[in-house]
Amino acid sequence: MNIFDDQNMILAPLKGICLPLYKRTCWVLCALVVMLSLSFICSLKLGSVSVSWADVYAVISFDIALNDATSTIYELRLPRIMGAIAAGALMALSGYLLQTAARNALADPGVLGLSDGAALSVIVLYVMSSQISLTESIIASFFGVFVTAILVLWFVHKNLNGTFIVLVGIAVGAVVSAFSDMLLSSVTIEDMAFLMAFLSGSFLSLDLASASFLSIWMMAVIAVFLLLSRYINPLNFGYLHAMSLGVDAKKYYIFIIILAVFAMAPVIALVGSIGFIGLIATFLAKNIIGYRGTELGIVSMLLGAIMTLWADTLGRTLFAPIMIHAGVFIALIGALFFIIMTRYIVRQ
Amino acid sequence: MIKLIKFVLGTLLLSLSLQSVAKETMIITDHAGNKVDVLKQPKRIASLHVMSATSILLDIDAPIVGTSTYIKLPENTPYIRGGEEVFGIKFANTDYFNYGSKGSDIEQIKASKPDLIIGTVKYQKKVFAKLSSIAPTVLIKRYTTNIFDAYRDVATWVGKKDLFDQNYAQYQQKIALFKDKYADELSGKTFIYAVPRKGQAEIKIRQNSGIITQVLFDLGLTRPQFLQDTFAPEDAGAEVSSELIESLDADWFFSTYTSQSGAGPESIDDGFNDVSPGWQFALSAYQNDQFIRLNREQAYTPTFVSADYVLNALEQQILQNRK
Repeated sequence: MNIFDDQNMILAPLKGICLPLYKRTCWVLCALVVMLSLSFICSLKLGSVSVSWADVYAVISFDIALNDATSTIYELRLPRIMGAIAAGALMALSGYLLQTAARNALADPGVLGLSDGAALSVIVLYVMSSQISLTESIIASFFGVFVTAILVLWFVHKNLNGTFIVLVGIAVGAVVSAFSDMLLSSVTIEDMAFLMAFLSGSFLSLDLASASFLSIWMMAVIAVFLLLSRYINPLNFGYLHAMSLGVDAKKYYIFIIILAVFAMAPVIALVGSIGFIGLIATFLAKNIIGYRGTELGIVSMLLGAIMTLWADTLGRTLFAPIMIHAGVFIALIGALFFIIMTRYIVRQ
Repeated sequence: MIKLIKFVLGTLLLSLSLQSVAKETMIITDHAGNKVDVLKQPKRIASLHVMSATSILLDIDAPIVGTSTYIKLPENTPYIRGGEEVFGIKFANTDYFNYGSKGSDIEQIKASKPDLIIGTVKYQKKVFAKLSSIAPTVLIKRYTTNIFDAYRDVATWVGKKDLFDQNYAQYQQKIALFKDKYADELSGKTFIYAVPRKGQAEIKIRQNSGIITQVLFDLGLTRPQFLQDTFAPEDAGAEVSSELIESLDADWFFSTYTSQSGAGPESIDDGFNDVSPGWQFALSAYQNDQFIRLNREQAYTPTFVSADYVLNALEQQILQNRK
């Protein structure tokens, strides 16, 4: 890992982890880490039950002599916060990887129909068995995302044009979503409400074990991402450029799609759909640090984590005791963002 | 002196035995199939569904520590839907904790230190484990073919089954008398409970909905042919196109308005005028003065007070028609 001047861009060799940090990126990373840390602490403090800064400090310093306040922070807020950070980072990375694969800034797990595929798979499993465990939902989610990704790839394999991939993704997502709606209308009101809550993009039900699982998963995905990092920059230039730089582009496009699927599937299974985060985070990251392969992924993850954390924190505090799902907040902002981005891209 | 010692000892023993009863537990199976160890006499009950659970708890005078709430419009204040209309209880005048619209504010639930949490399968199945870490949690089904089954279960779980049995016996007596007294108007007759969905060209059929349909079925009224052909007996109901207004004809027609937004009985007619102009000519119940407008909160809540409300409204209409 080296630090370069912004003016002297050097292509990394095709071996080892490729993380050429530029001064600007370093500053941005430091700022985002500070922002995430402050957001983390504020989220521990904020909630419908008031707690003191001393209680927050006690939890942060692992001095958990559980009184009412510290146990509220530790048992109820901390899992949500950990989950929001991990889920936001994973969805952002997934979005970034899909954008690299599709070579289109509008690609995102939600836009490409992958989130819908995961949701349909979970619904089918529930309808068949009337109940669903955590492990089953994660496996079902993986299966749904993989099948949808294969379906999209099968439709576009002869025309790997970025816009075409997004259009096919939207169409596949619409069909899959329609199947989900049909299945939902065939179950009882209670089951429908349960499934809708299951897929609503809420951190309400996350416990410490699930949040820890998501966090560990995030670490594993980051490790694999860094191992693939030396291929990310060439792939960002496009298929032919990557081939000319010695990268087996077809193989690594598939690898990064698989990694994107691995990043998002457990999030959909545990939290539900929090679409658009990959879109927004990557777009912001590109505008802050420019097109810089690995760094772009890391900055996107930090932005995704911060945004999802605040979406959840605002959702549980702004109108308390009425709770707004983080997915609703992000979808609202994301849809507006999507429209603005489309206009921006057309202008470009 | 000996008498005094006997009295003190007796009092002590009595209070100890009462305490032990209060701490005794029982294992029950809730409507989601969970086996839960609950106190036989819970003292701080958190209710996470105002219309389905809080109403029952109020009806049997169980100790509530907090409840989910609705928002009353246009005041925009928390409100115990059903509890306010049926029992006159305003949220602002209680010391209940407010758990939000679907009982989803878990921090408030924890802060209220309940010894029993009653949620619904519909909204709390996903967070059951989290709620159970706060206090024993039981889930009820909101839609059961016989609403008193759910009521009996809740009463049993909170240690008030005897009171339920007593009230239910009285209710059955009232129903038997009513059927006997108004056999001409009820025997072999059909009913529909439906509400217009203004602006959507739809009518919502409420086939199994709260105490109102329970009372009407218990009186021996049956579903008209259209409902028998369209819905299974246990279905809650669904929206149908308002073009089908003629198919919704029945001997008795019930509709409700909601006081949540300050509407009155006239809102029912406004609604039908909107979704199906000329509806009055399609419904023989309307022409025969057998169209009854009720307050939804009073007619829905699964309480014996609400059962009386429905019976009284029906009786008044029958007596008026007999004149």
